[in-house]
Amino acid sequence: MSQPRVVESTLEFPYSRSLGPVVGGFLAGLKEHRILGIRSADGKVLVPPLEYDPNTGDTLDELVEVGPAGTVGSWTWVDAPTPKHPLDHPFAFALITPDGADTAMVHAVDAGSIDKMSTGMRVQPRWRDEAHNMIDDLACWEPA
Amino acid sequence: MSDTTTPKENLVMNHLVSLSYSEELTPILERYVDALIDGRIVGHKCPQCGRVYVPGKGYCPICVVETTDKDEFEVSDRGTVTGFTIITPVAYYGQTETEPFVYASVLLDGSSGNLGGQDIIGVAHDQLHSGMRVRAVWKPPNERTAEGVSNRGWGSVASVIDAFEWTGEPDADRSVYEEHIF
Repeated sequence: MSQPRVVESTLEFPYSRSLGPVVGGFLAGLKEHRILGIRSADGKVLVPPLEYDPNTGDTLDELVEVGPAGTVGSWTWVDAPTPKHPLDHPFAFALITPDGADTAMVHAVDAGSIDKMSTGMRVQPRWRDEAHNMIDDLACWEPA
Repeated sequence: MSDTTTPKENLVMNHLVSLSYSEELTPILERYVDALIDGRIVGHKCPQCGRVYVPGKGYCPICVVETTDKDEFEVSDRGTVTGFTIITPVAYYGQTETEPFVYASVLLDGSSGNLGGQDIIGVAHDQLHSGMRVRAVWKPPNERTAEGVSNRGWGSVASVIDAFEWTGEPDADRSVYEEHIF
């Protein structure tokens, strides 16, 4: 029997999402090359900011600037990125704690090679040329 | 909010979720597509109840019996319009139609189920009605492809048949299509 046919198909869902004061504040900050977290009821700074306190459910509204540099916690190396990945060459997904923050955020680290990666390494943000109100306005992090 | 906050504008995030699939057709759909490209429409006829599914499913969901290539059954490319909608398109993402168009269900002669979403040509929109006899307008053989056929259920004929046109025959008797109207 000959090779089975392979058919290609694409489903697309266009979303337009109104961001509100907290997530909108975070992305407005990225546009100005600033990283904003939010202060929770117990005084911790959560990044990216949450609209509600994860422990008490209280509404949160005190945005706090953190970073710009940060520290890598755990990480994993992506050797063969797909078209959906944030970078078109090998990179790391990492948990990064910006200076002054109490939580880590998942993001890409463009370190060039896996040998440059280590837990505890210092990183700094690289900004997207033109902001478009998405998390990749902070394009990725790079070794500081 | 503290002084660190700047935004007063309401930001909007535009996010296109795009999912691309690449799938090998099942052996049954392979035969279905081979036949379509050859200008024939085939399905499976249940050996127990006689219902004809186009394309074949490999089983009859009513009788819960397997159907195989041995149960392959060719249906006609002529049929009866069971129901239809005239859609006035609004310009949503992905809509390529700009003028009102027909979305009709056609019960092919020999098949037990409708073929949905077919264009009907050769008749004015206000003359369309259930029971009209129509025949397939096939694409030229070299333009027929497997595009749009998937394993996820919507085995389509759009890549081989452009539309159905009125045959000019008298309408089918209501008993032919009354069980197939949505």
